[in-house]
Amino acid sequence: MSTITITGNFNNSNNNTLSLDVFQFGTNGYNFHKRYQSSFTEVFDDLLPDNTYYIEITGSTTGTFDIKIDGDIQNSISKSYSSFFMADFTIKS
Amino acid sequence: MKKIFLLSALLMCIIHEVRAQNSQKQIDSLEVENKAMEIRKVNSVKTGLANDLLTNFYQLTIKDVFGNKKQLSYSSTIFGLLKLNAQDTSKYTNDADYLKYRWARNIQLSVSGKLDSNNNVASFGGGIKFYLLNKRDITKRDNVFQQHMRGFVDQISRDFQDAIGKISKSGISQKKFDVIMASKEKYNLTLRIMDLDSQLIDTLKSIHSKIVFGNGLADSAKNYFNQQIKVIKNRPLWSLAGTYLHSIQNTIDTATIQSDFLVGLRSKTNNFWEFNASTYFQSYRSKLPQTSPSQKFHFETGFNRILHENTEEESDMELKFFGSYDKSFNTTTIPTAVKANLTYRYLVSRLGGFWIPVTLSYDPDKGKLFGFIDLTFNIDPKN
Repeated sequence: MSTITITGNFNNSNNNTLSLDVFQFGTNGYNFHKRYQSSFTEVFDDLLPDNTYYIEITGSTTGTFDIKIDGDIQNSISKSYSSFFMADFTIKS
Repeated sequence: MKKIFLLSALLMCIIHEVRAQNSQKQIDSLEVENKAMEIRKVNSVKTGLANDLLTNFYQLTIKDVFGNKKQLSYSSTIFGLLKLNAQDTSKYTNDADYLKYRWARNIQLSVSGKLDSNNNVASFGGGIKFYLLNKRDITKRDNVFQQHMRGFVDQISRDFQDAIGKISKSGISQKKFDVIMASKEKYNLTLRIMDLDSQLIDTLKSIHSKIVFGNGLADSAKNYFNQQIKVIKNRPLWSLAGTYLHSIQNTIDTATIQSDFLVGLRSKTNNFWEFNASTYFQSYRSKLPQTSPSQKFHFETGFNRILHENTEEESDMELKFFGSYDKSFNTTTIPTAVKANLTYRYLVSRLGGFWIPVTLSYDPDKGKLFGFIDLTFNIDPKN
C-alpha cells in the first residue's frame, strides 16, 4: 500500500470552510469526501501503488489556506489560496 | 538626548531588518508569499486613516517633516512586540497564535519625541492606545458569512463530484477523463463556464446544477465573498489613547487623552466614504511655582474618501475633508480656533510602502492658509 498525507492549514482566520475529495477514475475507484472548518492533517494509507488519484478542494477563508500533499508520490505539492478557491491535483501513488 | 532618540529609532529599524533576514532563512519562498498575502488581505479592509488609528504591527511616524517642530513616534501593537521578541519567529504567524492573541493586536504602545527648531529633542514620552470597538477584524468569526460560504462550497463540491462520478462510471476512456479534469482545472482559475468540457457541462445540466446556470454558482460565491469583505470594510473602529510627553527644555509636561471613531458609509459601490470623528483633551502642567495648569480641547469631524485602490484592493490614495475646533482653558497662548482642513494621503509603494499625508488648514478668522506634511511608515513583516 502507498501512503499520502494531506495537510491543510488555515492561517489568521476563523471564517474557513473546505471540502476535500479524493477519488479515482472508474466504477470501483477510491472515493473520499470530508469537510473542514479548521486546519487538518489527513493520512491516506490504503492507496494502491502505481494508481492515479484525483484530489479536489473547494473552500473559502478570510485568511489564507495552505495545502501540502506529500508521501509516496514523486513530487510533493504545496499551494496557497485565499478568499474563495477551487483546485484539482492529479497524483500517482 | 537627541542622539539617544535618533539612535533608538535607528535601532528599531535595524532590529526589524535583522529579524526579517533571519526569518527569511528559516522559511521557504512560498510561505513568505503566503504571509504577504495575509497582510494584504488585512490591509484590504483598512484604509490609510484606519491604519493611523491602530497599526497592524509597527509604525514609524514623522509629523510636520518640513516644519520647525517635528514629532517622531514609533508605535507597535503588543502582538508586534511579542513577535519581535519571539525566539521562534514562526510562532506568531500560525493561525492559532494569531487568533489567540487578538487582544494583543488591539493594543498599541508608542514612544515619541518632539524636536525643536534646531532638531534637538525638546520633549519625549510614550503612550498606549487600544480599540474600544474593532468590527473590521476579518479574522473574527462571522456566522452568517460562514454559513453562506459553506452553502456555496458544499453545493459546488457535491455537484462536481456527482457529475464527475457519473462521467467516470460512464465507460469513457481515461484519456478523455483526463481532458475533462484538465478543463476543470482551467475553470478553477477563470470561473468561466465555457472553459469546462462540454461533456461535463451537459452532465452538470442533467443534474440541474446551478454551477452551469447564469454566470455560474462559483462566480456567485466569489462575488458574495468580495461583497462581504466590503461590508466588513464598512464597519466601525473606535479607539482610545493616552500619552504623556515630558519636557526637557522647558518645564511644561503634556498629558493627552484622545478618542477616534471611524465608520464606512457605503459598501455596495466603489465610491467608498468614511465618517471620522476625533477628539482629544490635553493638560499642560508647569513645574514653575505659582503657575496653574492649562488645558486644550480639540474636536474634529469629517469625511474620508478613497480615491484609488491598488490591484490587491488596498487603498492607496485618500482625501479627507474635515472641520476642527480648538478651545483652551486657563491660558491665552492657545487661541480658540475653528478651521477647515483637507488631508491628502498617498501610499508610496517603495521602501515597503509608506503613507504621505499632506494637510492643508484654513483659519477663517485669521484668513490664513497653512499646511504640513507627515510621513507614516506602516511596517508589516512579511513573515
